[in-house]
Amino acid sequence: MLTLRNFAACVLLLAILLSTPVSAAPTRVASINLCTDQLLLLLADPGQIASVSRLALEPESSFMAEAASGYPVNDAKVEQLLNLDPELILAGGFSPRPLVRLLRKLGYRVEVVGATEDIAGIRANIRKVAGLLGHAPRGEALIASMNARLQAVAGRSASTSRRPIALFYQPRGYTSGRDTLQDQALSIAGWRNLAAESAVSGYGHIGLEQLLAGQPEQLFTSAYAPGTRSLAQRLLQHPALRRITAGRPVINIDYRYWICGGPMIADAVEALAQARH
Amino acid sequence: MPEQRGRWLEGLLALLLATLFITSLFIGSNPLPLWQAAVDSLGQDPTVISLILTEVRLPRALIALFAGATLGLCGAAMQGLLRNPLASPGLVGSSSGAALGAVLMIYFGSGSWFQVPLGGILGSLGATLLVYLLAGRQAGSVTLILAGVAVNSLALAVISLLLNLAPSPYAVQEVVLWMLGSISDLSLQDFSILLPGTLLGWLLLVGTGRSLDALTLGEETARSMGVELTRLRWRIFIAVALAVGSAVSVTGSIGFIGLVVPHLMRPLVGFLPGRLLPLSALGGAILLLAADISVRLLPAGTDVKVGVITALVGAPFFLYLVIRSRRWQP
Amino acid sequence: MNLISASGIGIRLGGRSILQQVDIDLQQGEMLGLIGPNGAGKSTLLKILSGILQPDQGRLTFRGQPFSSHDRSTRARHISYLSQQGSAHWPITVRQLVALGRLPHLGPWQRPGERDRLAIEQAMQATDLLGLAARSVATLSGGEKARVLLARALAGEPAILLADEPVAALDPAHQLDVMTLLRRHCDAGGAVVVVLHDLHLAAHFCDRLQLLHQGMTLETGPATRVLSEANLQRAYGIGIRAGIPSVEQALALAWERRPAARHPDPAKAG
Repeated sequence: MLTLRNFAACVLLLAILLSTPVSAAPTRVASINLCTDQLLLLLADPGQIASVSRLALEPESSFMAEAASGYPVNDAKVEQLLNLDPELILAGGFSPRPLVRLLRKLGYRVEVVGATEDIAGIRANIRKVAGLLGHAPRGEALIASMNARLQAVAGRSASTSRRPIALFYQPRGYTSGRDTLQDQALSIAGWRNLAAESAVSGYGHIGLEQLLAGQPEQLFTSAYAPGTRSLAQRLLQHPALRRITAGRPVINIDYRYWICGGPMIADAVEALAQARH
Repeated sequence: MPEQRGRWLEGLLALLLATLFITSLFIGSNPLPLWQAAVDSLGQDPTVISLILTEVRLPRALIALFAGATLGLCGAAMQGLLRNPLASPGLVGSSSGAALGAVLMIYFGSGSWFQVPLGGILGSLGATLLVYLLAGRQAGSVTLILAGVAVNSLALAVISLLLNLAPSPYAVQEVVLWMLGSISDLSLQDFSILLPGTLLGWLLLVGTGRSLDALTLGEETARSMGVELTRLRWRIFIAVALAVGSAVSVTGSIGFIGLVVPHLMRPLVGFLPGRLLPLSALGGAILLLAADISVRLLPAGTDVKVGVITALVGAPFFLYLVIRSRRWQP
Repeated sequence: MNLISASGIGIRLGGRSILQQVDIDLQQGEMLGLIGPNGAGKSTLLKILSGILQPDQGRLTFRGQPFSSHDRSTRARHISYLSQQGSAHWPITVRQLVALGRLPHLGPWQRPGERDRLAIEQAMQATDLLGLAARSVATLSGGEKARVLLARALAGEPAILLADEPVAALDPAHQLDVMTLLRRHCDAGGAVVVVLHDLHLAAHFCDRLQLLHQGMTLETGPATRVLSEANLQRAYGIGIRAGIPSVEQALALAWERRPAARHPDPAKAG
């Protein structure tokens, strides 16, 4: 029976329904940056993905290379994006600014997802992209599983008393100091980071003598293009390194786990933890 | 008599060289108890300090010594042979040719240890011969410089091209290392790569002093005095290729030492080429060691290559020479 | 005894035949003048005798032994060559340049000894260079430089001196000095082959002349025979000016060294 209370409830319901903007999940999303490519592939429905950037296909750089192989590829060129006519474009912090401005001027919605320096940033980016795609729950699930794995590792390494010294040593003597993903990952996995203790901040250079004096037990590398040769890479074969690590080979943790902050950081941390044995 | 004075000078330079060598071992990012490190290195188990001494500082000092001596000696030899005070391994293409050969071997070769110096040696010989052919036998300064510029530009262009095409993504930025030269982060292995060719080259150059002195009088007169000119030329070219080729394949093309050192020695012992050979070797080693020490005294974090220092000092000196060289051209 | 004996010397350079069938003999104590027009092959012949060039045909002997049986440096001890375009590529001192003349006598690691120092001193004394010993050769005049190069050749104490136009850049006084030096070298038991353009000097100082024309020997012998009107006409295309009584007299004209004349005192002039 149409009472006044019923009528008021109907009006209220209608009002609520009408006042909430219709935020339907975008149906065509293009990504022009490797890091957003990977998040897109992890969080979106297949039907939502309009295009990923070319780097997403490269197995050395992209964690999601296989998954990316089915989708149209873009080179971050305006004409390609016009053809795709996406509802949403995901760009990275280092995507060319003029490109982003131009796309916005042409009326496209461009969301910039910045680079991450730590795991908190990874979580924030996952949430942001998941929200943009209309799949917030998926984002939370991804974060939860990542957190679980990280906590498991942290728990195990907390139980051991010794924290051995390690170092990321890259071609040309580059290393990851304080406030880098590698630093945090080493810490969770139960290592001490020689670079951080040698006052290297961010990504910087460490001298061979400093390295030797610090006596790291394990060297890690995440070098791009293994198997090729250059003077930069030859440094990694300096005989002194072998001696100081008592013959323990340099462990390579692929480039693709670090280049973009993403849930694959858990894989990297697990690998680092395993190296302690 | 200049003879006795020269011998005294050699002793003094040798002393200076030894001092710089030892000093070089003291310099690094950490203070090192040198005596303790030396003692430890003789023991069974290498300690950290002995490792730093034998694997980091010692190779660096040795390479600076041998590469510097090579460049000085070959500069003096080339100046004597070409009768031109502007000749030097850098100018006549020996260095950049060596770099080209080494680059080819390192980035595209199969990686066996002898390939790299071999590439350097062959590249050096090829480039030197090319400059010699272009400039001709009686080349004046201008012709020699032009021929050298041509060959050096060609070598640099090919090196840049090769590095761009190389499979390694780090290769492109290494042009600087090859064309300016650097002796940081080298190992005893690198020293053993440099050594054979260098010693062979030096051996060949020893004993050419007399013939170079005779050449002061011109090719014909030298011939009449018993100098076998063609043989002398080949001997010096091959010696320079062996020594400079091996050195550059390890350190890159360090410039200006071969040019500057003989000129620094001339006011002290006169102009006879034979006299200048051993002194230029000593002077070259001293100069490169000094440059390397000064590079390491710069604040940590700056990564200046030793070739930058030699260029900063050498290039103005070279300009000064070009202007002054008119004075004694025949 | 024939110090040098060459027969049938022939050589082609740059596609052209420079010398054909040239014979030449040099005795001890003899000064032989090589004369002839430009392009006759005089310098080339001298270079062959000094070992700089190898002839295509012919035989060369030194003291009866073929040239090839001695190695270059041994030969260089006995034969000194003075190039036409003498040069010093580095501004070394006069003494250092003259000392280079001793190089053929020094073993690879031998240091110059007393004998060498003596030879250098004597060579510098003979060429009147003692006052310039410490000067850089780059600062010398043309004539001084020519004397230094000659001193270098003399310092080697060679048996044979081969000089290619040694007096071209010199003033008459120094021309006489150099020719006198060469003469004395012969009188002391050496021998000289000298290429000259100045026929008067050649006739006056040389024991024998050899006239080359287009790569062949036109005539060899004493000056009076070689410098006949017919030979001069054929080789040089010159004649002897009419009015001079005889060839001998014409060619007997020569300069002589005199002490420097005092300037006439204007006050005493009449």
